[in-house]
Amino acid sequence: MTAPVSHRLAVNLLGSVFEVDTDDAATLADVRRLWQPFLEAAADPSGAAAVAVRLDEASAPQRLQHFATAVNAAALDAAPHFAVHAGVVAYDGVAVAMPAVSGTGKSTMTAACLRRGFRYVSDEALCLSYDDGAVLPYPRPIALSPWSVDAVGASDRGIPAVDEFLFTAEDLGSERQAEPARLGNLVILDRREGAAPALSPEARPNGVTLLLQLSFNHYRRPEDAVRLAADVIAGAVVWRLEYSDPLEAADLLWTSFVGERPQP
Amino acid sequence: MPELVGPPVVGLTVVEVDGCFHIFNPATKRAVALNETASQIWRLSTGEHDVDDIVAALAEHYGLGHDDIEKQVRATIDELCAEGLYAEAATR
Repeated sequence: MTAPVSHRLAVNLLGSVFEVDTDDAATLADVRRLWQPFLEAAADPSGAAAVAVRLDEASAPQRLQHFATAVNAAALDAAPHFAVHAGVVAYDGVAVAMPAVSGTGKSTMTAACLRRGFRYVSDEALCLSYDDGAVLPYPRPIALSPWSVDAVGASDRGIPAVDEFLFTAEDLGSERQAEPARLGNLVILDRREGAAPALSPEARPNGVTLLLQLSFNHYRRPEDAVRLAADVIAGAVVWRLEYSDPLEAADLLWTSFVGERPQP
Repeated sequence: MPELVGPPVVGLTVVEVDGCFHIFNPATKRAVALNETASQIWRLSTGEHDVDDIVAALAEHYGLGHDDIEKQVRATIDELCAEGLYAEAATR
């Protein structure tokens, strides 16, 4: 009888380093694939002490869910940036942020945007540098419910977690935004059953309020957070997106922000 | 003695976007978002104007009668005061 072999892997999320510890090689391979952008960062010596995350749940989906939830919450709380609950995509170095609380469709809209040509920044957090307001990529795995997988026509490459599937940007036919971007558009999601997609201007002060209300960590640097939220919104356009179908809505965002698609 | 409004308490972080203020009060650790009307009231809350001055300014701006907006102006000032945004002894 042989003792289980422990497999370890380090990831660096927004400056927090986590060391995965599991006996299951397949789980480690899934973590390696889904958190690949963060492996590169972990390889760059940051001096941060690693937090061990032991994955010993009974099933692979449970292990992945545990890891995704644990490291996301810890990383965002400790992030040295102003982090806001939002889906974020980009085009030509310009970020589109869709701030929203969990369960309101931001991951689905993010995935739909990737299916329609945008690059991936994050399905979870708009991370703004306190230094210059740049949007910093946080390309964690995109978590989609079975309904969302169907709604955006996602491939079958998603890896099962608990009640959802995890995808990379490449799984959805896109790629991640590797460089910092500039916040150009903030889109307030307004999903209504049966509504045709419509994009209308929204008062910018409402965007400032939303960023502050949905921030993970503004309490760490509240004065700076208020100033930063106002600064980035002053340089952006705030919209309200009424929609029902995520892919139709993503098409509207693309044609509104990027331009007409070339005809095949 | 007129009811002078303000001045703001020292130490607030005040930002303005499109004429509307967001104010963070470190004493309460709360951020307050002001709409356009409240922002106009805040702009006049320097400790040099009384409530009637502010009501008159807003009535002129919106083309409304003094009595139409006095109640709203007083309620807004009360809210700003309750948020601890005015220097304590100044608004009376």
